[in-house]
Amino acid sequence: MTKVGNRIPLVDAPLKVAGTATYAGDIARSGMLAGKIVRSPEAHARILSIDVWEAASEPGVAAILTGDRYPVPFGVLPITHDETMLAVRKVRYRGEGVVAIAATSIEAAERAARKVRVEYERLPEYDDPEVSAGPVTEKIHERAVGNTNLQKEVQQSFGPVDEAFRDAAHIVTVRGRFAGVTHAALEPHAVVADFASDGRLTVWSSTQVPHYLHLALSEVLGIPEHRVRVVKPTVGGGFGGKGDPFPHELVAAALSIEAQRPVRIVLGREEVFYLNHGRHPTRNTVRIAADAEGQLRGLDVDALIDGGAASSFGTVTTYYNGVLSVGPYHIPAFRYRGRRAYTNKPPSGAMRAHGSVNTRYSIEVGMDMLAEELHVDPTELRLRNFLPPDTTTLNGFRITSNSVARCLGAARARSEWTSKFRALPLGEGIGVACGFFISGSNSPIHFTPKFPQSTVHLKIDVDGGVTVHSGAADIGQGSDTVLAQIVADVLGVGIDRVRVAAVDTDTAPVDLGSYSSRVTFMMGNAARRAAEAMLAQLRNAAAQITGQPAEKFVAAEDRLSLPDHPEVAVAYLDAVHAAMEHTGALQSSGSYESPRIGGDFKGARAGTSPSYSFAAYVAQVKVDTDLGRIRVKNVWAAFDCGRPINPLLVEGQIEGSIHMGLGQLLGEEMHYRGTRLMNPSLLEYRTISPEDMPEVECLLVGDADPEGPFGAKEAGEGPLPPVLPAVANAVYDAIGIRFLDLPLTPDKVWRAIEARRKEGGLVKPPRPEDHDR
Amino acid sequence: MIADGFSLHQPTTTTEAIALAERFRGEARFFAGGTDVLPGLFQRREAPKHLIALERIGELSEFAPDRGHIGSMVHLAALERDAQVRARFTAVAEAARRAASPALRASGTVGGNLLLDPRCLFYDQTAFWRDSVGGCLKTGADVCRVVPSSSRCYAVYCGDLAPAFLVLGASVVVEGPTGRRTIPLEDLYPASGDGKSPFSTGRSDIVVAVELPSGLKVHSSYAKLRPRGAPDFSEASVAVALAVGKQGLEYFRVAVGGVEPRPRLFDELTQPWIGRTPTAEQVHELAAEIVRRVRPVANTSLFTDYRKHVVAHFLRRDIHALLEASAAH
Amino acid sequence: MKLRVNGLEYEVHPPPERLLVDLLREDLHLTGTKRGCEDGSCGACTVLVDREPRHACLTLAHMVEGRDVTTIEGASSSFGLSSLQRALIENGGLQCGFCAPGMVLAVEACLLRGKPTREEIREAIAGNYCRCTGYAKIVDAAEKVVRERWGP
Ligand SMILES: Cc1cc2nc3c(=O)[nH]c(=O)nc-3n(C[C@H](O)[C@H](O)[C@H](O)COP(=O)(O)OP(=O)(O)OC[C@H]3O[C@@H](n4cnc5c(N)ncnc54)[C@H](O)[C@@H]3O)c2cc1C
Ligand code: SF4
Ligand code: FES
Ligand code: FES
Repeated sequence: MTKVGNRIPLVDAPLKVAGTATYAGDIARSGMLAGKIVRSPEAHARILSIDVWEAASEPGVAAILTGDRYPVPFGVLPITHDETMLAVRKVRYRGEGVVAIAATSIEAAERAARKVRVEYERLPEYDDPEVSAGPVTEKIHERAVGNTNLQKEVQQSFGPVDEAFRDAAHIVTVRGRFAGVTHAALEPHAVVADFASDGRLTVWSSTQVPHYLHLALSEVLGIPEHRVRVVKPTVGGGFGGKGDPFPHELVAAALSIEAQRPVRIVLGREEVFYLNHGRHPTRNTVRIAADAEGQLRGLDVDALIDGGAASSFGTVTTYYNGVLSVGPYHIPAFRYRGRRAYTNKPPSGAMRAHGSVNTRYSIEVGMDMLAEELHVDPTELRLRNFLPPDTTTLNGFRITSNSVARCLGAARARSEWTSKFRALPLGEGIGVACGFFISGSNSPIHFTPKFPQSTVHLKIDVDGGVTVHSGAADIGQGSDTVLAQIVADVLGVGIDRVRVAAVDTDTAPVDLGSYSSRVTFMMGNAARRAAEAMLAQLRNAAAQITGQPAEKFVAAEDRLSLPDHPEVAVAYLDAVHAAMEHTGALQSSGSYESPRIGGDFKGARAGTSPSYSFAAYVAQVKVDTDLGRIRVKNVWAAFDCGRPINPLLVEGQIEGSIHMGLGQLLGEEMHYRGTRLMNPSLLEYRTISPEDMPEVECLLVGDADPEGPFGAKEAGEGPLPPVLPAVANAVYDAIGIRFLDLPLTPDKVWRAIEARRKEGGLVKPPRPEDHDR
Repeated sequence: MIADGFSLHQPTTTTEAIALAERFRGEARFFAGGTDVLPGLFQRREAPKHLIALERIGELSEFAPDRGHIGSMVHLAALERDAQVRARFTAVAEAARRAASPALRASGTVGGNLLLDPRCLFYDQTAFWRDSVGGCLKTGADVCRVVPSSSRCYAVYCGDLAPAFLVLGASVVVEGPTGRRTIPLEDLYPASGDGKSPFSTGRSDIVVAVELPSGLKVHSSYAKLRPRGAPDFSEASVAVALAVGKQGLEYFRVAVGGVEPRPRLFDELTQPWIGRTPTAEQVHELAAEIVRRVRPVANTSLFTDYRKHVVAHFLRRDIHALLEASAAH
Repeated sequence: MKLRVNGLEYEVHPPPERLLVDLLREDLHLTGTKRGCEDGSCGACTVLVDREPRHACLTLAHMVEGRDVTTIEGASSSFGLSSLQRALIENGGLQCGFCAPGMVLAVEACLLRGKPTREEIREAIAGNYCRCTGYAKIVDAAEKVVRERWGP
């Protein structure tokens, strides 16, 4: 009755589907006030004066805050603290908080907000990362590099890059441009803060990183950590967008301290767009060198990413834009220059498939171009170049399990690739792309006291129920379910015996949160170890009762029994009670720490992971050549997440990733005119609608990973990147046009088609075998 | 959340409603389904002190498609589902089906749709956003943010029903302080109007009903360009209605919406075809001529040249299709 | 004014500007109805008013006087979760769950009008935004219910 490997529905789905799951915005406390943040209408300006006098005398106003009250900077990375809860002396993007108000109702707070008067002196606005990269007259942050507005610059070089390009038989160059996109989780951020009369602060927040928030609250507000408690209720989606400690969370806490009452802040949708921390607007240049046989010789990547007005995860993003290109192909020489610029736009940050999507797009489109130059089938070219399992990349990534070749085989077979490639009628096409992604960053980004990346506590009480305490944030991806499955499986009990406690920093062991797809792998391993430690106690009890050796007992179906003598068995509950005789409640802990991996050069840790997921996607499209509309009809998504713990959830991650990836490819865009965001609403920020989703076939291919819990690897982010280039390559197959400027809205596609028609006609590209004729 | 309070009136007759509108002149707004009025309040595009709900005025909900009578409070969902509307006034049913999303069509009404506030990227934004730009003509400032040299507002009329009703020769029954009148629908959208004041009716005029000619036997269609599926507003719409007889076209009208401050009929270009049948070439030329006359500006999300191209494409495609269907009939 | 919510009669006195979504969430403490936007574009607030789907965020409380409102709290019966809710759970038709309340009612509204096709199901949820699932498993779940109810 193994639970691992089965299609187990989410353990909290029955609550969610009945509307009884509690999200942060659903929490009400006695005496609670409503908080409202007054935001800057200016993108870059010095604050000359703030007048809150009139606002303060509005009926119902309990507290008003300005930035000078808590000016301590914070940020998710310890090295780049450059955000404040409210603007201090100057504003750096339109939508940045300047004043915060707590009042008896949200209406009262809103009315008071309109009475706040702020005088600004405009400063030069930076909207173009190219300009930010050069000498500037006004630095957005003092900490920017030299006299520029660059936040971070990375240079890396491995192997004989110059020789590779000098001697290459083929070089392809791809210049990609990518609009910024944002997470757009359905639940707008919400927080309730209660600074109680005992001097303890409790914060309920829709966050992916309860422990980072805990730390930021303590640092900024000056309250010792042991008097701060963060609780993560049910979270309505994150995708990275709830992966930083955020100004409004600190503001709610500060307002609660000022007003001595609980305060709730629920962001409006427009505010969520200004919070952003989404995928960076990007310009990249990818050059690929290959020999005459199509063996890759070198890769040269240059990326300039628009960080907006704060660092957030940006230093990591800057690395990821480069280092995550060393797979899934064998690259003998690699050079990377990455730059991240501050601009006066809402901050960019980490978003699903962090830092890897845009470079992956250019590489995979480049591989398609290379295949064409070489007159080979693009799947064939990829097969020639895949990294093998159990190898090390030139920059020190340790690759263990790797089924990318099998993934490609599966996607090819299911899609009937060979009979379709270059063979469908004009306007229809098929394309391929691959990818890989980290299964949890190897090095934690925070916390100087060194401790394991993930820890799980278990407790069993007299009723036989198993309570799991973990700091890993389930944000809808189902990590609580995976936890419950693992624990139930090891203890041999039904999954209904396991209750996963909400993340609460008072009781949960420290965990670094839900990002970099680290939850299943790291927390899963910790949970397995905790459960095994618990099982040892139960086995001892069984041994005591039966006089048989403890290690012989296996746990299954609510019993501990001897496999060879099934009649020798102890009921689970009896074992629990016997074990409890001396100790009271049963407890156990397990933790996970990844092995040391990576070189010793600067930035060597970026991108290292105990394991990697792999993917190969084939997409089929139909392009309406009259209207420029790209209709994605099918995606065959072959994915190697090791041995899936829960295929149902893995499929959900793949399908959701495809929705998000297609959105970035076809319509989503943080549409700026200068520094001004033109579309801060779900009506104008265009995700894919249900009618436009393709049929997706998930092919879970892969061997058990040697170090993953039950052989599993990540599946939350890796499924995203390949879908964009797979579709773009399919569009090329359909109409012979390469698109390198995302998103591919129909008007843009139509213009390109018209231009091609004028140049001499819209035709399918030739088949590889027809080239020589 | 609406921070500014207002009074809500729920009259049961048109006379009462109009009297209220007159009493609170300049401060009142009729409220039908509210799916346009309420976002307007959230975004503080306006802050009426009095909302006059029309829902309790029974007459406005009268729906008799057999007589071609559609009360202004009839919901879009009803049009979309009604078998008679689908068969006889196909363009209207199609337009209703492509408007907004199911829940909005269950709330949204015919009257509210005909009087939908024209839209613009610089206008359909929150007060915070608009104020940060400094406003525009439509909000009382003295410049248009899209066409700075213009003294007219170019906000786009995006209602889906109007083009469909127009090609079917609809008229509207309007009641105002001076009584009832029936006007051709095209007169609701005068050429002199702009994106700021697009309608010929006043703030105290109630649209009572739409009347469609009951004996009409035509084939009609409605096509809509939207960036994705629901619930996107139109970025260009084309309605066509025609009937082919022995002597060629007996009825031929086309209307274009979603590109200008008003939905527009092109009778001056289609009427000359009565009694004849255009060739493919001529349909092409007609479409090109219509497109030469429409002037979208860059205040929506798609390129204007593309939107014009789509208008031409829809016209060619749908006129052909209807010519064939009608000839086959 | 009086209204019925999930079969129970309530007497409430909201100010004219009170929205149905706030009446439900703040005054009646029915927080199952969610809020994801301010412009009618997400459908998280979908409820049924006299069996028709409505955005509670674009409905004034006064407009439902005397009407029958069904929220997600009323979507399950005394027998437990509805067949649609169960199908959503089993098919992975929700992840973070924030869209689920609105999604359930949008699909229920569609099912109330008779047997829908797969296309009609997609149209019925076209105004309900989901960022997590990619919609496929939601449509699958609804189709499962259609098969149970009307046969293949
Ligand atoms: C997310 C979203 C997407 C949308 N997409 C579309 C779309 O694709 N296509 C589309 O056409 N619409 C769309 N709409 C707009 C709207 O839902 C519909 O146009 C609807 O039909 C408006 O009707 P209503 O009854 O809700 O109007 P209301 O909001 O009640 O009224 C609109 C205007 O008409 C006036 N009015 C209403 N009825 C009368 C009357 N009988 N006499 C005099 N004045 C009256 C009101 O005073 C107000 O000025 C969308 C709305 C939203 C929120
Ligand atoms: S067209 Fe010009 S005046 Fe009209 S709403 Fe847009 S910006 Fe304002
Ligand atoms: S909350 Fe988004 S439509 Fe109502
Ligand atoms: S499950 Fe998260 S929005 Fe649908």
